[in-house]
Amino acid sequence: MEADLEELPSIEKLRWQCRRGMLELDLILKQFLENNYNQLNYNEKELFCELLSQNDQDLQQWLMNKTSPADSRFLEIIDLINRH
Amino acid sequence: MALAKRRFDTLILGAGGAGLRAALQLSNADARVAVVSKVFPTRSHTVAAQGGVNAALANVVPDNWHWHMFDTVKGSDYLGDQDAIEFMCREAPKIVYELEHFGVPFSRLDTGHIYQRAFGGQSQNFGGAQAARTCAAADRTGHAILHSLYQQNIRSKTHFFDEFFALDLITDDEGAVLGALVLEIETGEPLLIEAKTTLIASGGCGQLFRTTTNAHINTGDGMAMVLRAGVPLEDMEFFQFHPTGIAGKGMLITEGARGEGGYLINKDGERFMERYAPNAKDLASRDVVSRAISTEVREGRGCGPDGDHVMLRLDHLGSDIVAKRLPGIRDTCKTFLHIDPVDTPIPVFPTAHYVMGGIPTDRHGRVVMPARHGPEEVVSGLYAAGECACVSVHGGNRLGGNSLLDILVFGRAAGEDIIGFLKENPNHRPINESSVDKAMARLKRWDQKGEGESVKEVRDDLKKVMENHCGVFRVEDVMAEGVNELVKIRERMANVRLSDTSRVFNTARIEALELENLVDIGMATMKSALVRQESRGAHSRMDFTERDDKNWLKHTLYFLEDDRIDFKPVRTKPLSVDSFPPKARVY
Ligand SMILES: Cc1cc2nc3c(=O)[nH]c(=O)nc-3n(C[C@H](O)[C@H](O)[C@H](O)COP(=O)(O)OP(=O)(O)OC[C@H]3O[C@@H](n4cnc5c(N)ncnc54)[C@H](O)[C@@H]3O)c2cc1C
Repeated sequence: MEADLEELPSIEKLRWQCRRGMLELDLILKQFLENNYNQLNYNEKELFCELLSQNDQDLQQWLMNKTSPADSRFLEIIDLINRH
Repeated sequence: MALAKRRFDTLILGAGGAGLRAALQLSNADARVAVVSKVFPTRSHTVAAQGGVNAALANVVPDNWHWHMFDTVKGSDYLGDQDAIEFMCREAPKIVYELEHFGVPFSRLDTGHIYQRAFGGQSQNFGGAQAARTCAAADRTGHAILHSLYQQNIRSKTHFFDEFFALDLITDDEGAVLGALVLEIETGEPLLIEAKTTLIASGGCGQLFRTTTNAHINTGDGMAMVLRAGVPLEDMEFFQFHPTGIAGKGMLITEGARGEGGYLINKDGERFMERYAPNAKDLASRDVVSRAISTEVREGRGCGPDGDHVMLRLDHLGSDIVAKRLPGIRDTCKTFLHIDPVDTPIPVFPTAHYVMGGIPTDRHGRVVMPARHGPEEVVSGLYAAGECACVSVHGGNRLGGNSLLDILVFGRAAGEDIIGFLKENPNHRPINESSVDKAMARLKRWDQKGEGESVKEVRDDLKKVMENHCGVFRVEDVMAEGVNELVKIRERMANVRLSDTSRVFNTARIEALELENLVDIGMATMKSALVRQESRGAHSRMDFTERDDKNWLKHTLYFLEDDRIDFKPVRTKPLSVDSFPPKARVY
């Protein structure tokens, strides 16, 4: 488990990945990172990191409850973010 | 360790629409181009522009560039430079067709032509019937533009430095710009990028204000770099506010909410707009509504524990109307306020949206400043384009859809001019070590350890000072007090310390550097607003309520050294048509 965890980007790096082109995303992602990220299990953390590599326009649609992602793997992490 | 160095023909600071459009022009002409961006390019703020881009294509109703020009001059409250405005409006159709060619999927009419929507401030026939001039790719225009331009640049082999933070321009004793010192965010190592020409395309500075629609990256870094290099900023008092942002957070609640029958109330439940605009009430123009809200709060009739906002009521409209016509607003409220506007009023306050002022340039994107031979002498090797620049096409107020146009037209024009400059100046000028040392010293300052104030404390205070003293409600003594507050904040900066002085991905250090930039831009804004004793465009003074063309039809220039203010004339002569002389701006 230890070895696995080391593969994830550092929280500092993720903090910068949460800097986006839209204020709405800045707020949603940063708040989730600071308040909830550490409590996630490894898979959820990995999904969050992957989610951050998606484009802003899609993230906005998903995180503000308008549409569901075509890639259903993201449903769970989006749901987690939306609930916080 | 010796300072790492790289050399390019052109260095572009910023990868939004302006930077990428310029880069493409240059890469396609085989120049060696480096683009530096503090975030991944497609996360630039241009991605947030959903409305669209203006061009007189006449696809829906008759239109031509001359009408577009008239609207832009009028919208600017006659402070825009008419040569640059003519150039922009004439270039607009070409720019849109180019975008189409680059792969931007514009929405279409049944005829196959590009669809155009109507926006406020657009007219046919010099102030006649409503025009429809805004081209959009559904509600993702900015996103589509940014992604297409990025792909085109990758194909043209533009060199990207992603997640590098630009610190300072490097200049020589003659004031020529030789490149910039940048910081690799991941490693924390500085890098000197030498370039024959440097283009600043670093976007706006909405983060100056507590309540803003702008993303956290918009901290005006390029503008502050220019100030430190001795170049002034132009017309910084002109900042566009949107009347209804979510209080304390900033996101837009569009005008549609009031258009559908929503109205504003103060803490006594009073529909206060009836007092400020007896006829138009809640549908009065943006600046009137913004000032009314601000006045209610200042006079103690604000809502909430701190009395710092008013309420927008939609609950009387019924859930059907809200769900059907205002779904976006409902989503925003649920996400950020955890309320449903169907049954709960929305806390709102004017939100800082767009900076009209910026780095003074001519219509070729060249940075110009007063020097020996006149008010607009070219700074050798330095260009600027996009929201950070002041060409000036927006003058006192920007029209919706004209900003995307501005960044593309002048990004492209700057690229073109740079190609000519590179032909005439094929060699790098020798690097100036003392300028590099100065930039390095500013970076090293953040290695200081020990007790001190935090970046957050000072930043929060700065934003509050800007909002309270230089927001939509401007008056002499309040702004003079604001200047004093900013002087104190400047002094406090010396005592700010980072709790973490490590190198790798130290975002706290980046935030400190951004704060330094914001403090200087704050002073530029406050000083310029204080000096302009009239109301024009977005700058409205309670103590000078009229526009004063006799004394103030001129651009303001703020210099960092001694906080000095200078002026330069407005270019009222267009390129080929007659001037539009100042008239009262009634809509
Ligand atoms: C919510 C919203 C909606 C809008 N809608 C519209 C619209 O519909 N139509 C319209 O015309 N306009 C609109 N605008 C305005 C328009 O989006 C912007 O003015 C425009 O996109 C600015 O583009 P730019 O290329 O100048 O800068 P940006 O897109 O902001 O790019 C700036 C770039 O500079 C980089 N950068 C900044 N500082 C540094 C540094 N220190 N080091 C390295 N890189 C740095 C950033 O990483 C980024 O790549 C809107 C604005 C907002 C806030």
